[in-house]
Amino acid sequence: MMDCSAYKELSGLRSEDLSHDERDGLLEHIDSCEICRLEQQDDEELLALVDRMPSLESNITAADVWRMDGLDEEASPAATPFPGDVPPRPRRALGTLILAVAAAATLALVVGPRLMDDPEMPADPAEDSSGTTGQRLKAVEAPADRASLDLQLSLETPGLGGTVAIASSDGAIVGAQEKLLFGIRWSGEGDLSLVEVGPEGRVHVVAGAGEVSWHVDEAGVGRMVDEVGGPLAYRPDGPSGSYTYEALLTSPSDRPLTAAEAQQLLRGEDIPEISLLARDAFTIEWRQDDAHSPLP
Amino acid sequence: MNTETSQRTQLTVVADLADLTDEDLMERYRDGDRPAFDHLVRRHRQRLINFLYRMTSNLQMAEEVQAETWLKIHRAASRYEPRAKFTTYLFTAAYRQCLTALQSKANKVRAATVDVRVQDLPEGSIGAGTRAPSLSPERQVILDEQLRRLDREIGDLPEAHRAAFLLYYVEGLSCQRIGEVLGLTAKEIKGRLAYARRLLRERVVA
Repeated sequence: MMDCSAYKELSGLRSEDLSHDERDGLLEHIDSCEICRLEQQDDEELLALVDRMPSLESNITAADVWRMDGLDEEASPAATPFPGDVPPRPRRALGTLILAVAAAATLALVVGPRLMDDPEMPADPAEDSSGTTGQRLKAVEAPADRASLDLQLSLETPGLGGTVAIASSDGAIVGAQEKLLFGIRWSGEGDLSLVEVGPEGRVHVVAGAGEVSWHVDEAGVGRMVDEVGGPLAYRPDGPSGSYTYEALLTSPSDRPLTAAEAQQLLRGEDIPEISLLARDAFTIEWRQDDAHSPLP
Repeated sequence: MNTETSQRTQLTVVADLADLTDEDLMERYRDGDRPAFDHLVRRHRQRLINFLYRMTSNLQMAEEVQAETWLKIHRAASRYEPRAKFTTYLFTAAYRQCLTALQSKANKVRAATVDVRVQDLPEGSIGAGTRAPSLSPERQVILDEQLRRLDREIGDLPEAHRAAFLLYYVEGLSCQRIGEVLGLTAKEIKGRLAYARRLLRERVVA
């Protein structure tokens, strides 16, 4: 039989912190001890008060933290590449890379760690921090309260036994056998659009707020898919040349972004009721007649 | 234009940050995903400021400690491994930072802020949960007074008891995890919780 002392120690705990025997002992004790029953009522009143304690709000964001670390909040992430971003790759040296990523069927959202020494904090804060050599992020960050976009490109290319997706980047050369897969990371609220600017300057809205709801808020990562949910494999249908893909985050709107409006925004012109919050772009070289396959 | 699909395209959110666990977000940040860290900060900043405010009884200090805590987590991100729940990691960092801050400012902080509690918080800084619309004005006054007393008495608990009480009854951590945060055994945590409950029961409720 549990005594009052043991009861008092265990009575205010949640069941997850009690053994089966302890739970049974508590029930047994409370049935027979009037003093502990009264104390339990007081405990319940106390904990009801705790539930009503006022809650403070905090406005701290990651941008504040990065700023404390001396990171330049004004720099544009689009203009300052992530240290781990995939560098432009030589088009003709893909064989091993394809094999290495053959399992990747979706966009590779690959960015590498950004590192510099920091002796202050161990990986596990329970460890002694003395003498540890740490690392910290050093990338230039955008304030999180501002909108940001990170457009990412993979190439779907013929591989062994099917197609494979390869993380790619600005300047990629895309052959006739390949298609583009898009991924977007965003921060901020607005409407996302993807715009293609062809070699002759023709602007085409590949996809965006006008067709389906691409309204986003806060932050997230998405990929473009077709109607049945598969990754959207996109291929320019124009002459060979340079194609630029612009991801645009515009202020929330209930109407589609037209090609003409996209063109205006890209030129930096104002459009009534639509403002450009963030953009990111990459350019590819589309070779329509390139029958080259990177595989032997 | 030719999209293999010239049909309509869509954007599917393959990784809505709101759906990710804390540990997933930290791993993403470790791998360079900046929005993941911002999401993590926003997800926990309210509970952290409440914990730190009640640990320090000083809003400014709580805000500073919170910022320092996130800074340490940010700086250690490249070495993060999800060996424990992220909240254990977070509160461990916060508790240590809090102790450091309290030790360095102990005397003047207590003297200057002894009365700066619920009633003196900045306008709008208190979120939902304080008011009980169904209470009569008289009962509301009594409740307010009890809450002030509770706040004051929690602030007067020894630090480890205070932290254990807040982490258990406000943050919902288990005794095991609180033990990891405070560097004590689960049994020691249970003892501290019992002590804190008794003290608060006697001083606030009885």
